[in-house]
Amino acid sequence: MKLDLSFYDKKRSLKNSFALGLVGFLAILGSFPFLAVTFYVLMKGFSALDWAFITQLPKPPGEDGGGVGHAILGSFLIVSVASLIGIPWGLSIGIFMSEVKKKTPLFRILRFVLDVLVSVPSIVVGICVYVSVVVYMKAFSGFAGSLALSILMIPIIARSSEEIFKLIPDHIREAGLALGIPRWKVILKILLPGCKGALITGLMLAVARAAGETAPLLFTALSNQYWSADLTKPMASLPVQIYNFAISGFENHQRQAWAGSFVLVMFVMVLNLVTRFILRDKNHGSRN
Amino acid sequence: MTDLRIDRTLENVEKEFLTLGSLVENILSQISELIKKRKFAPDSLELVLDCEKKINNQDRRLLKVCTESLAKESPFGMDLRFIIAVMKLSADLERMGDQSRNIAYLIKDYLNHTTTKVDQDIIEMCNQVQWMVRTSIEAFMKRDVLLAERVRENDQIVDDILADMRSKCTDMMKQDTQLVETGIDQIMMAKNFERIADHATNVAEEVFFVVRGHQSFDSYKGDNL
Amino acid sequence: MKQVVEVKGVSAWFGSLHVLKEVSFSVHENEVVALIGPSGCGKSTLIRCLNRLHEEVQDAKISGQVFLEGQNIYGPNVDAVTIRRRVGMVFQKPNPFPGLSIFDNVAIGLKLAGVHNKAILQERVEECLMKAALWGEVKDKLKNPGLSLSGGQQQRLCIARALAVSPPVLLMDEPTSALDPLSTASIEELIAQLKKTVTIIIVTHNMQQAARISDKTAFMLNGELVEYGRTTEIFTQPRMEQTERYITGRFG
Repeated sequence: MKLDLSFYDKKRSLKNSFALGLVGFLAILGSFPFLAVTFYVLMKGFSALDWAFITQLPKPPGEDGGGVGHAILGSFLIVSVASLIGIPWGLSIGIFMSEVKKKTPLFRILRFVLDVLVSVPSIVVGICVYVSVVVYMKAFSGFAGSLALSILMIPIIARSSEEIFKLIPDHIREAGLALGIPRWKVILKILLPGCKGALITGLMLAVARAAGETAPLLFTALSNQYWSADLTKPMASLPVQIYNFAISGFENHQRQAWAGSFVLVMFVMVLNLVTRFILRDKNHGSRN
Repeated sequence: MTDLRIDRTLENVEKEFLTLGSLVENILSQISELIKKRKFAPDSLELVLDCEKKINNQDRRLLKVCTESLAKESPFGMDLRFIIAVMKLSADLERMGDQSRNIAYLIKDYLNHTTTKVDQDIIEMCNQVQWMVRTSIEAFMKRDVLLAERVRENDQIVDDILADMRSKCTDMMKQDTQLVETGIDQIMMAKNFERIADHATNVAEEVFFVVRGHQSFDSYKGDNL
Repeated sequence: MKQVVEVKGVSAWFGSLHVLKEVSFSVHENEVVALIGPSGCGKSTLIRCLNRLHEEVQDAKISGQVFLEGQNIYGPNVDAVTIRRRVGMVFQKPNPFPGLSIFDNVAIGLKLAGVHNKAILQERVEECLMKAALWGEVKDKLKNPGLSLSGGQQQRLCIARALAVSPPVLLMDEPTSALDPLSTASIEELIAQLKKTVTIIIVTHNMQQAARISDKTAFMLNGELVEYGRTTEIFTQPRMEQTERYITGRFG
């Protein structure tokens, strides 16, 4: 005797529609914070956004105009050096964690350390670098700032690159080894180029996070009112400059704090768009 | 191990083979009846010819079943050898039918002649051949190598009877030219029986092929595989 | 006929799991040898012992000897990497290297071995793609990604890649089990051509395939080599009862 499932079908349809509706609603709800922040910041800061804002130094308090050009340059320099330190270091750790054959004690220690560092408060990192580098060198410096940011980047890069490498199926590695290619060359010349796109996303996200950090820079790079490209001296950065402007009482400064925030948000958004562009499906997938 | 699809296919092949074998045994017992009872009814020949037609049809049917089984199952090992052996023996059994028909035509005239001392020999031959056909089929169905060997050995007995009959008939024909027709008919009947015995021997030899993967030891020793 | 591969008393373990038990057999030049047997019988492990891939797995152990053209590949001071260059391997799932073009996929083995001369690489890539019966289909799009090809083409690309470093022996681990019947047929035709220049050892689940393409067949069960002989004999009159049961499908 055939079982009539049509009743269950109707019930299932209802459940399906309900779940779909709920999920859709929550998705729209979830995008509000981002949209709200972006628009609010844009509204508040748009009036201060002009060419001078990006290219000029800040004016003395009370005076109108001026900009955060030095902070943008400073951020760029600090984050670049941080990336130069953090990316190779993080990648190496990530590849090691994924590709190592035996779970040696070093592996276990690294695993533990990484898991802790991923969620360490950034201000703690700032203080540590302050105590070890700034006090030791008796100077605040952009380089110390880069160091602190790189310490924040490394666990993120290590974890994401480890995950990406683990996604590569084993038979690709075997195919490389079977050609008589030494293991390290298989990793660097075959596996690494193969997951370029996904890796770059991970790197970009780490860079974006570092670019937005304020607390660690307060204790390391400090701040600077003038153009400077000297990493051995205190250096301005956009997040810190926003902070300085935000706590100042002057209206000009406050507006510029909003504008700076807008620039920062835009930077993160552009970085994300760029990574999506890089990852677009160039390979047409497999034809099967 | 039971109720596999391949086993069911093989059972079907066996069934069709057995059907063909039974038809051959049937036609032989019809002929045996005619020879021993010495009674040839008006429809006796027709019955024999009818049986022979059935044999031909079953041969074709068996061949079809075997071909389809090979295509469907792609068998290996003993299964493969079995189906191939059945296809080969189908021809032998069909030829037995032909020979039996030939004998039936000859019986009609033979029974019109007076009895001779060779009549016993013909009856003996008929018995031997019936035994060989029945036993060889049994040996094949049971995959019984020892039984098959006995059938093979019996072929010599049939050959000997034929040789004996030939010389007796020759003497008989030399002495009385009236008996030449009788003699020829008798020799021809005997010859057909001997051919049936040869075919039965082929059935027996295929038992070795199925069970051991090669023909009986004599033929294997000769080949350089 | 020259003995190209000789396996002597090879046993292998994954930790405490004993997967190969004293396997011995030999393969002659330009032969195609098929390894058949139920899942878990050790056939994939066995071929991975022939190109020293087995030891790349954690806790893997191996004992016994494997002679490649007379040299024991497990001898002292023998470099696994050099050995692997002499034994090519094609896998079950076609796996062109992602991110590399068709040309680069074939050339990578040579490039990473130190060959950089463009003319040599060009010539070699063309030669191997022709041997793999793929040249005609890809000669105008060598820069396209390897993964843009169909499944059957990808597998032929992997064959060309393996042939590029000129190994005398080619191992194939169920190379057609992920392909459709037409692609499978073309790869089988390819194997018939390739055996003129390479010796091939192929693991297959498909007995009909083993019967079609191989000269010799080895039947394995529970890590042991049960029977090894000419393919025609193994499939028409095997000596061992276990072999008979497996090939007639009456296993288990």
